[in-house]
Amino acid sequence: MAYEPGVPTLAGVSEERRLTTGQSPPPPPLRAPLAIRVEEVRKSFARYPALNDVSLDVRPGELLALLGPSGSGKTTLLRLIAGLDFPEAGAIRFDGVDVTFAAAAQRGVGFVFQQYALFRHMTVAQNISFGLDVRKRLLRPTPAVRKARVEELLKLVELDGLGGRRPAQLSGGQRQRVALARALAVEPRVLLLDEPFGALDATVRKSLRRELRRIHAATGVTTLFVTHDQDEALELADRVAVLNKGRIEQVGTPSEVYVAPASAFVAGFVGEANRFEGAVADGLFRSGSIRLPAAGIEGRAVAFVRPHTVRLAPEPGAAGSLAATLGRQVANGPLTRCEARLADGRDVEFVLSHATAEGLPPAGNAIWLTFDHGHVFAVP
Amino acid sequence: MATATADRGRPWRRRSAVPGLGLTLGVTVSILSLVVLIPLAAVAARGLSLSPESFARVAFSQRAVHAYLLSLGTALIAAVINALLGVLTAWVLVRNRFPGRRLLDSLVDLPFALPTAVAGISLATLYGPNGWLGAPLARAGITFANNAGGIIIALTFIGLPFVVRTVEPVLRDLAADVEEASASLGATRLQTLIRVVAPSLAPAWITGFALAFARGVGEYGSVIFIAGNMPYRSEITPLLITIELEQFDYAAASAIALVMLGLSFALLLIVNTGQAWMRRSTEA
Amino acid sequence: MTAVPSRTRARTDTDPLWLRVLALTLVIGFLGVMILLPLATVFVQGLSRGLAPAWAAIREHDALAALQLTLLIAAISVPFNAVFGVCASWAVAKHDFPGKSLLVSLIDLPFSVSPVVAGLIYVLVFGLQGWFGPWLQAHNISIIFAVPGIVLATIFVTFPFVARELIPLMEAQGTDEEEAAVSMGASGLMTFLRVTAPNIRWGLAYGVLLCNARAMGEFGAVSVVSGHIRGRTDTMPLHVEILYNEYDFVGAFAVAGLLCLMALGTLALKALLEIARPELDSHGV
Repeated sequence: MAYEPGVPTLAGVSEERRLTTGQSPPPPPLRAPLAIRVEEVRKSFARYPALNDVSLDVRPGELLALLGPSGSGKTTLLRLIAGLDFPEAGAIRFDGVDVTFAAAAQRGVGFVFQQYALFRHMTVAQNISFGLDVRKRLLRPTPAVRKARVEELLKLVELDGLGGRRPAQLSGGQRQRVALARALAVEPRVLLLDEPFGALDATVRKSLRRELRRIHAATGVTTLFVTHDQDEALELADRVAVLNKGRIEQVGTPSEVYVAPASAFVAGFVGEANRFEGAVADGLFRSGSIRLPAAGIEGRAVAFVRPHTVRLAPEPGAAGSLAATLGRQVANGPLTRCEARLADGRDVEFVLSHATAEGLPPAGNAIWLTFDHGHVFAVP
Repeated sequence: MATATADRGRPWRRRSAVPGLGLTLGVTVSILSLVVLIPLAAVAARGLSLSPESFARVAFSQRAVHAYLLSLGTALIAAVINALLGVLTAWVLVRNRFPGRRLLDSLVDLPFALPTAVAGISLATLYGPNGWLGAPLARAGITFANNAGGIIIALTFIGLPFVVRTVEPVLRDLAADVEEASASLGATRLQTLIRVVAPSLAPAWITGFALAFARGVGEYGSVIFIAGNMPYRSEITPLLITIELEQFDYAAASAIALVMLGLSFALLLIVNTGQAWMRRSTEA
Repeated sequence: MTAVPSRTRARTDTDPLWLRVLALTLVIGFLGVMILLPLATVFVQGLSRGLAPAWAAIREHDALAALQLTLLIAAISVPFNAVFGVCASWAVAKHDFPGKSLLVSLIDLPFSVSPVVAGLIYVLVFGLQGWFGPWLQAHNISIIFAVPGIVLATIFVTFPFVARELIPLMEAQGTDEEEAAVSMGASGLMTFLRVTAPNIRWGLAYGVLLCNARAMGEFGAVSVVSGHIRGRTDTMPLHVEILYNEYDFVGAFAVAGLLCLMALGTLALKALLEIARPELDSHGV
């Protein structure tokens, strides 16, 4: 594990370009990004299973989000990849090499902990340089090189000049940046982040998200992060793996996961949706007076209708439209969120453009809604 | 490092990312076995090498039974005194600010730090016929020579810090807002103490009581100077063991020691079971 | 109606003054009789004939030998138990394995064994009639009624001190920092020395302090295995006993006074550590 000097700098990497093209980052990385393959991995804790035969392919250089509710196994999967836990069955390969039971130290991973896990008795600079300091003498960079590396990384995470502080003297966001710099110092082949923004307040989260995106673009290192926040996953990741109860429900780009959810769980967990229970017969989902197209399913089913796909009927009583009583309206920037109660008593949420919402009658009046698109899944 | 290879030889051995379990657990279990477990097994081996009849004759002789009862009884009384005054001490130290509080707080630990023999001769002198407390008490007709009273005093001294030190942190962490909530719901101060404070303190309180009791049953150094050591009257069990040892009757000493160990473990078992039960009932 | 909440509040904040004064008086009386008076007795008795005889009793040959032996015993048994305590708490607090709670109970076991029994068990193993007695005698090795026996008995009675202090501390600190170090390539030893050790040093110091106080003051266990050879196998507490039984009260209380000063020093250090610890061993950065 020889030290390769120089971290790719930010110069020349356009964040805009990166965001708009959605391509893998421009070339700077010093070694080829790592591909990770997780094969049929199983892991259980005490009595309940944490992961059930999970398989996942992580592409070289991508930024992948592991998204799921608490207890879904996402952190466990991350820790198995890091070598902080070990599976009961299955294998984990880095570029084809089996590392399932390799020690964390041998894997070349950078791990960022939810609670930062900074060494509280060391300064920021000592924290960052720790991974270099503990190398065997022959592989250890000279003190000058280590110092330069720390300076570079401090600059990368925008903490220039704070190297002499102790973790206790930093804000939460600054600590998280130190944790990130510390993980990057060893030039990891894969960067793993466990709920990296979980403990931070909303504003700091937003700015750190952009930061992570920028750093990922600059380093090009394969990156996985765990989150329970769908906004974070959809906004930040190249691809999202949605986990539930120890299984992967779907892997896809943010728009695939949102537009074409693969399961009822994904439809309900990612993005907002109105949920209706009913049954499918002859390719048509029925629930009260609601009708939605549903191919390839029979019997009990559940449908998810996104608030932005609900439309106002062109005229009262139009064919296929549903009568409802308008409830609260909340203007939210360019959009207006509305609530309505269907004739059979069920509540519906929908979103209209501000302009369309201007034309709505006052609350309590009758309106007509059409549901022209929904995600329908069979109920097992 | 690009060729990080799997530890395929014995994958089941790797349970944790933090290294050193094998080494430290090995060292721990080895030392524990050599220093504690194997020597303790020697007592069992020697004690049980006696035939049941002679075991019963030695371990349950009249003199031995008197010693057990005396040890248990005095330790129990001392532990009760400490349980009551210890919880009061903890409360005073935690809930009040007064000059000298830190000093008083430190002095509570003196019985932990002071060699028991020093405590023994000091208490024997203090409560002796010419002592500062012994002389006036003797005039009032109370003596501590050759009876259980002196033993209880010594065991109270030895056990004093246990209850204070186990209850104190719980009392400190017991947020005032719980008591305020109770009061805001209309409870009187006494109701708050009985229904809110006492149940929170109980596990720590019982732990402290049990520790003081266990320590008292086995205590030797502080007791022998004040007790007078009269067989059937003020002879505690540990002293009886040393007497058997001085006569080189190792089997008898082991038999008595075995009974004592059995009593201590039974006590610990009762306390642990009780605590587990209480923890379940408070969590449910 | 509006007065009620404020009155309720006042009552929870402070109990009635008479109750507080009564409680404080009771506690000061209790601690005064149980702790201050015995402490004062030692010094008053020790100095009852003035400073010179007390000083002479401490300077006397056997007393100095006892002091040396006590320091030697502590110098062996305390580091031994410190190493054991660190090993045990690393295994218990940083890992999961079957039988963990049994192991913790077994580590605590010596606390519930009478010191006299602690001495007895080594007599049964190494004494003349013990398991290894004949073999040891044939090879001219003495353990019982000699220094090794005293060391063993002292180790037994002070066995859990360091582990008991460190296990809860290390459990509360969790394994995040160690995992972070390991994931950056640090070896186990490196992780312990550079990450764990700085986090537990004050807790370790605290455990060592308590362990040392008990090691230097142990009486019952040492009394059984020592053989009471003056100037050779008498520790300070045993020397106090001998002087006292010989009715040399000034000598006994002079040496006892020295032990008292050590105990007070221990308490002072302990108080200092308690002030320092919350900042230095705190967790959750």
